[in-house]
Amino acid sequence: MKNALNAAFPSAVLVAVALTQMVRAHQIDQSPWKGGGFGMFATVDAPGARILRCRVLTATGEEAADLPDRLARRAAITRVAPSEANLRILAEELLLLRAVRRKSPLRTEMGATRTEEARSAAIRFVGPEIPLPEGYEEVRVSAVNLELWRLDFDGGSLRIGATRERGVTVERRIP
Amino acid sequence: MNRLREAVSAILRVFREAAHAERVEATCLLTMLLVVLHSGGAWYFQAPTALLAGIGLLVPRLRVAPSYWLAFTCILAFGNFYNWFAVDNHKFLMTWWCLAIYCALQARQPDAELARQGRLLLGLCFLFAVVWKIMAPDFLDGRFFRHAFLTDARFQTVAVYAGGVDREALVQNRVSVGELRNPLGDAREAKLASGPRIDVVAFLATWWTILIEALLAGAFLLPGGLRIGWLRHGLLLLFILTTYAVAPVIPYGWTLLMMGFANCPSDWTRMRAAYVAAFMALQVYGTPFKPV
Repeated sequence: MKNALNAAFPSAVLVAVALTQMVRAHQIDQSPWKGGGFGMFATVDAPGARILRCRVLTATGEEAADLPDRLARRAAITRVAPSEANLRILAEELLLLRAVRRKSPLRTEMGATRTEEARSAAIRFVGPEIPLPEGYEEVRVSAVNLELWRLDFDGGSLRIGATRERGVTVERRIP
Repeated sequence: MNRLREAVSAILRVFREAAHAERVEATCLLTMLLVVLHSGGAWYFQAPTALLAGIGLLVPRLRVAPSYWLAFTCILAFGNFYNWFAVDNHKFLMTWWCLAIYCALQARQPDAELARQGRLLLGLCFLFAVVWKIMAPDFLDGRFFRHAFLTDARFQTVAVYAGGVDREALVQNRVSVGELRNPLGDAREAKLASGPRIDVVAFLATWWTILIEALLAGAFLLPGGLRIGWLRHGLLLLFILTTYAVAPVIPYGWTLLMMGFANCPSDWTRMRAAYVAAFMALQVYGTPFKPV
């Protein structure tokens, strides 16, 4: 009995994990590239072709926000498996952090690139235990909107386009 | 420089030892090297696997002890499941292979059992790989390879020499895709530059991949014993030498070779030598064609 179990066990584990990955790919849009199902190099839908865009609602309106490094793991999981639940968890974790903004952001007129300008103007999230960085002001965020965008490739025209797939908005519970 | 030379000569010594050792011993030795070099960069892979490998080098009989491979399996399983969203599929395959060694070493005939486990894991891995490709519309119509050749640095050599794409154009393609990926950017569309032969190369790559992966799945999963052994090993070596010359994902190739080697009888000396040569070729593939 033990011999029979040993003989079948590694293959059974491989099949179980690979089938789980296939089911998750169809149910919650998990990327075929990740999760042990051997779907890498089979589709352009790699985690790198998925983008998480974050916008926050402040007193002055909706503003773009940068995802913080401290939530990089959670953001990577959300990109690979972008279920509504995962998007919501990430948005809720962002609301637990402190939102800050540069008092005087870089501008292209000052020699900054457009990317530097956008990054510098974006809301940043820092840990509540970290003192306010110099040159920044605290911003009150009342809601976080997280969107998943996907890069699609048209083989005929050779165009890559970014399209919005889904998104969630989470409001701060205690005003 | 001296340390590098010592490391290279140590690896060569392991290969030489493996080529002459019995199948189980050789497989365990080469797998140990694979795990130490390619299991992962995080400390929770590197520190315990290096420690285990060091003990295995000092006490050779430990290398064929089931508990030794259970320890490797646990380390890899922990690290890979913790990082499931980031790790590549070959890391999972490496874990299942260590588990297979653990199970085989407990069998009455470890040598035959190890060969059988290697055959099944290889066959299943190719089966799932080809099923994914057949199910993906963007693979079947050639979009995947066209996209990969034009944007993925790992395929740059093929795109330039076979597809006729200008090197500067490839750099520009990658910059454009980088802008699209920037979550704070406002770019929403980009047009890729291509080359005169990229469609033909993508078409050939698509159907070659499906054909050889389907043949490998069939050859390794269908029973047939030694009668189709040459076909299995020949196909696997052909796959490795062609695939990883184009996309040098060295640890993946090494893992597949490992399982093929375990399936190769000890008295098939020429085939074993071909496997050892393929291990070396993989290392060579990984070096000069790496994009800078």
